[in-house]
Amino acid sequence: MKWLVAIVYHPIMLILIIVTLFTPFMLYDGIKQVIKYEVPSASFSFVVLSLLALWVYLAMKSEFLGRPYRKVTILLPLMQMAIYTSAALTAGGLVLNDWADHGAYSKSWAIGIAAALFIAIRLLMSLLYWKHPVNNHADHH
Amino acid sequence: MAGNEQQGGEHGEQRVSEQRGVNGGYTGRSDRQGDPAQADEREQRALGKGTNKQRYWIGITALILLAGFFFFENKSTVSVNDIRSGIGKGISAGAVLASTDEGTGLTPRDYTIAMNDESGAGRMLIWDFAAEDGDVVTVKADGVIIAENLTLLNNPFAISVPVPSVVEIIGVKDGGGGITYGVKFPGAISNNAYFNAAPVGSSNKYTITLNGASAAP
Repeated sequence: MKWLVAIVYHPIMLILIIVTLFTPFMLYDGIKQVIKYEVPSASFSFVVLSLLALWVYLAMKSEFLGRPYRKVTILLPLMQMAIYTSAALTAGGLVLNDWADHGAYSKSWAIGIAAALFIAIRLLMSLLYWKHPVNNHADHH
Repeated sequence: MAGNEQQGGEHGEQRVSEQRGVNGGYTGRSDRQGDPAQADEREQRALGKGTNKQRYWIGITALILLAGFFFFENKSTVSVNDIRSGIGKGISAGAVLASTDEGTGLTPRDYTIAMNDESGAGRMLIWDFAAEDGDVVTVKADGVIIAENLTLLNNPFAISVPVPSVVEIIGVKDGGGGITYGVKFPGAISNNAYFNAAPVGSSNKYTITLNGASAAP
């Protein structure tokens, strides 16, 4: 049964690795477009990020599914950080989209709130990795 | 330090640890640090606990993002039948409601839009809510052209308009099936999108007022 799951899991994971690493750059570009052209953008999607986070969670939860990805020790932590950064950018992008579409507040306020959200989520990420650092499997003997 | 303790081999504790043979008789580590195997086990538990926390939080993040999808993005589908009156309540700019311009059933109308306290300059978002078929319009504000021969796309354009003012959208070229477009004014009191048809040569007027006051002539 686990091999059937693996047949589905691994091809998707290989694609998601590339998607995860490029997503922050795409979102940043989307935010620049919103600020520059003052029109809302459809770049900010929660469901894609949720899928990325779920796949990484499965790799960390399952010894069997996650084994190939632990060979590259930096991979899973890097993907986690990319997801957190993407979530922070998406949150900021939502605020900017709301300004561009509804005009509920001024552009300066929108940029300020978006930046504050991004910084807050990044600080939370830093706190997580400060309290629970990425494993160092170096040989201590 | 381990070497010093080995030199002090007369101590009972040292002899006991050697007799215990924790590492097969090799006492290269200081007994003051405790059993090396136990130290390794404690270290592994600490590392595992850290990994567990990271896994926990990425899982929580997945759930939060999924909740965000249902809260922010799960919008009900809107079709052109829902906006026959020409007003789409709460519809976002750039919404595409039809695949062709024909059969939208929209008639040219004029609208009055009340803006929040935003005197001076406002924005107007304009887009083609049906097929991207090359419809072209010209936009005037208080009789002055502010955007000429604008080809409408599904992605909105933002145009600065004075507030208060009278904005005219004049049909210039029909790409097929009639010139249809949507406009939205961010900062308006009612969060509506307006859907209209502008036959070639005719215009639709949008009277932008400030908090319900009359627009300047």
